[in-house]
Amino acid sequence: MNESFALTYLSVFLDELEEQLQVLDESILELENGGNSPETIQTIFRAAHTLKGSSAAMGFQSMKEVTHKVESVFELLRQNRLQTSKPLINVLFKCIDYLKAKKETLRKGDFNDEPIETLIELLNGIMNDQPAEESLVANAAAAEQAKATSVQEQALYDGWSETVLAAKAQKLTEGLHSYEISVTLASDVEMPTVKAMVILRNLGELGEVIATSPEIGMWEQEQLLTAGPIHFMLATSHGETQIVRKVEEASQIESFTVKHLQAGGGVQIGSKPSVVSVNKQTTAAAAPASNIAQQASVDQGAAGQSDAKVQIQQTVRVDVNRLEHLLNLVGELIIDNTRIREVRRRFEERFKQESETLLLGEITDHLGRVVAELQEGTMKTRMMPIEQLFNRFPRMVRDVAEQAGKEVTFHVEGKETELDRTLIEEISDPLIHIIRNAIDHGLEPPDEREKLGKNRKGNLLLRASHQENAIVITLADDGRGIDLNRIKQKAVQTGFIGAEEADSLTDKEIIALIFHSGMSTADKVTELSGRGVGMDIVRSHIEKLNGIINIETTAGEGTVFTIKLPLTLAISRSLLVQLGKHTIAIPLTNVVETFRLTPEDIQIVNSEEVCVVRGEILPLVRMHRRLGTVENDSESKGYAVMIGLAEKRVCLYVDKLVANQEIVMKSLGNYLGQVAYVSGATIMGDGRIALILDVNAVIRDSGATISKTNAGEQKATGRKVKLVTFDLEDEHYALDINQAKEIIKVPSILRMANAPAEVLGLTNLRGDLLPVIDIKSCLGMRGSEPDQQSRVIILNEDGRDIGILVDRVREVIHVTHSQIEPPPKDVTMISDQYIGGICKTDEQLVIVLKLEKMLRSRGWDTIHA
Amino acid sequence: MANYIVVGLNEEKFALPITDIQEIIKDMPITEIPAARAHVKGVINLRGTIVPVIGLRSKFRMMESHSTASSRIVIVQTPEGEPVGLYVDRVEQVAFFSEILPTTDGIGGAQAGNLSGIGKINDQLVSILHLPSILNTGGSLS
Repeated sequence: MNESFALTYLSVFLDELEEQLQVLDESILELENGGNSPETIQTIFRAAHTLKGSSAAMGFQSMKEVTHKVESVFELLRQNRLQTSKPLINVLFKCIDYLKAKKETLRKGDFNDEPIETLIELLNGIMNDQPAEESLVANAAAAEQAKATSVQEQALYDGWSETVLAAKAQKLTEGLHSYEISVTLASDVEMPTVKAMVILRNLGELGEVIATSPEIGMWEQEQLLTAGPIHFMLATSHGETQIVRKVEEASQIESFTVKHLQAGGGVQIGSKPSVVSVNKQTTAAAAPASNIAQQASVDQGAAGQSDAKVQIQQTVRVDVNRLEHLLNLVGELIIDNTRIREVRRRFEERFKQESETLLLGEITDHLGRVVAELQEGTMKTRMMPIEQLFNRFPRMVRDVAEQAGKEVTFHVEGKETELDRTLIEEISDPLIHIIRNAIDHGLEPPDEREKLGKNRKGNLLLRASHQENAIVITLADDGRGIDLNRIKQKAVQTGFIGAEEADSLTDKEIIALIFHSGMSTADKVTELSGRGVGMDIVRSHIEKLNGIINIETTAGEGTVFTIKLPLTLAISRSLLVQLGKHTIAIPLTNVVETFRLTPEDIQIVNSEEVCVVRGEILPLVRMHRRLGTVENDSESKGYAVMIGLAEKRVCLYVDKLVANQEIVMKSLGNYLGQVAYVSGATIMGDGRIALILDVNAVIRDSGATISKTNAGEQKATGRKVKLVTFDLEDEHYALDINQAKEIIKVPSILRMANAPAEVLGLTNLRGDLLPVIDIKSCLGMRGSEPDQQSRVIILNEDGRDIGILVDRVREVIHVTHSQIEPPPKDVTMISDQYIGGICKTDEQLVIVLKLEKMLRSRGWDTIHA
Repeated sequence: MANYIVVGLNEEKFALPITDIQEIIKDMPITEIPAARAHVKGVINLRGTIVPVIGLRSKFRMMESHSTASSRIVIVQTPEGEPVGLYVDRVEQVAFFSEILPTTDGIGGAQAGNLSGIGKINDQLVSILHLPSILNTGGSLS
């Protein structure tokens, strides 16, 4: 297969691979959960089979071998010659992991085959547990099959040119017999060219394909391939049986015939029937026709699969930037539409009787509808079902549960819920953390559950749904719930809050404590969780997306996490409010409720204004002074807008509620950069600009943290940063916590030849391969063997994960920007372009690393799997 | 030799290379941005694009003046290609300088770093503005 062919079809192949891997993942999980039905096995068999065919067509030998072996395993399973077992499932998952890794390397353009002996050996090991010899089985099956196929005489294809016939005669003198194989592809076949290539390749394994009709050069024209049968002239020393088997390896074949050609070009005449014609509809794939019931289920499986294929719709891949541009233009249109409405209103006031006014009214109405639909349509192009994210979780849940020694039944609902694709990517990490926490902390071990009278298997429900213009993701478990007292104790122990303060906290406030970094109720740190960094990361991610997180927990009955996110980041409904002279927009996803404020509602606690809403005490924030304006009339009663972000809620005092409007978020541009309390601007219907409130900044500034002293400190010293600190040799280093995705124990690391010296190798993190880098050798220190305390910090850089090996992870510290000083000019030990600054805390000096530059400059992305 | 647009602040004249200028618009409603630098007057809606406006007066430590019929906003582009408006008292003429004198130390005051030279029109001196240094401070406080 030449390179250009491989490249042309690579993306198609990768898509198919992805799809089939998903199928494999799901079905093997089902298999493990006891869904040992013939249909499941058949599905897996099919998927492996399809993959084998297409990887062979693409010339990826090692993939073909692995999928072939997997297929063989299922062949045995299908015949009940092999029973599903834990080791078997594990090996199968290993194979899938290999295929996934392979997919990534192919995507990177690396076509080299890596050794697969270990995998093959594992697979062989499983199969050899069985008494029957595989080849024997296969032969018997094939023989049986040949018998089962209907036999009929068919006319020969007579379109072969003289040269082809001459070549055939030549082969005959060499002792090779020529066969003509005519294949009719299924009418609904996808990628007929690839299928034809698969067949060609399969036949090529038996001998030499002298000619094809249509000629290979014409195969690009797909209609030629689907219009009639494709003829192959094969010179081979093998017999018909083998040829039949080879052809059958390809899927989606309607029917085919194999004819033995005589020297003169006629069909061999003899007592033995030499024309074999197989109708795929009655004998599916390489299924042995030994068992009728089995056969029926096979057909069912085949039918099920072709149904699934039909459902796949035509798609066009479009550059995200183009979509973004379209969305911006639609945004403009929305603004203009609102303006036209305004003009129309004025017209109607002035020229009520004119017929043109009526006409204008009609036009604006129509325009309005079209614009609304256009907006919806454009938004939908960016929307993707959350399925592609959710589908990753069952496998993860299984792995985590296995590690934690828990038994879990995982339910997923609302997979079809659509949301902005950027959000899907962003929400992935927080969800992983929450799910892992739920399994590791939330659910009790099986024995404990049994004692409590619960089912041994814990239930975990992940659900996505739409709520107005927000998406709500809930994760519910039926575990032990969050132990409020334990959190309180721990918080007092670690010094987040004082003992008396702890007593005065409401349940909600106590739960909010788990978002504090450094908080973990786990008594010991496991590989899964317990370091107290996780929930902090969850919070910061959700804050970044302007989302809200809510936790409800009942002791002994379970915990429900609810995450509410805006549907899209570009256009949102917002509440317009008046704050002094400013008109300010507050994204509706952050607005919890609004209410009229009477003086009685406002109380003073600790010399700060608070308001009491249904028993909950919330700080009342007046932004007027900070926004350089004054309250309209301090005597008149204003409104309170309760705004929320992640787990925090505060009430914002506003003079007036103006409107609830669809707005297009626009940035203030690089020149203005980050402006305090303003996250962007929008153009309103009348052409004026409204500023969008940076809810994050308001809440952060309001000191809605639990500790009052903490809040005071925060105001005095400006912006806070959280750093995760770690040791390299005896020095303390730190990273911004937003860069760190998670911290894991040192996993097994696969060393790679010809990688740069700093790259320790690749590791497998829940199915994703990522490089692990020895940060010490990057910084000019001598590398050392990892020990008990060594950890790998997973960083996310430009959407890629990279692990860095550190000697010890210490803690998460809160510092303000003012505490971080630029690095002194004469630091000699480390190339100072990697140092972001030096942070002085009370007791130590910590070097803050600037990793993004280092990661980028080294070009490690090229080795990233 | 490039052409320049001459703008006025108080009695003084300043020149901007015509190639730096995207367009000149009449004064329009400006939305204030709280907590931005003092020289940032706010943002305007320029045909659907949000454009920050710098008060050239406060940039040069002069008193801000009220908007008049001759007030104009000169839209220029930052090196990154983003539009930024410069708020001036008036736009006077297109000029061409046969000779550009270097700025000397000691003159220029608040504008010193922002000038790239001095030109002459009918014996009146015109300060030629160096756009990159005017725009390099950025508008936010942090």
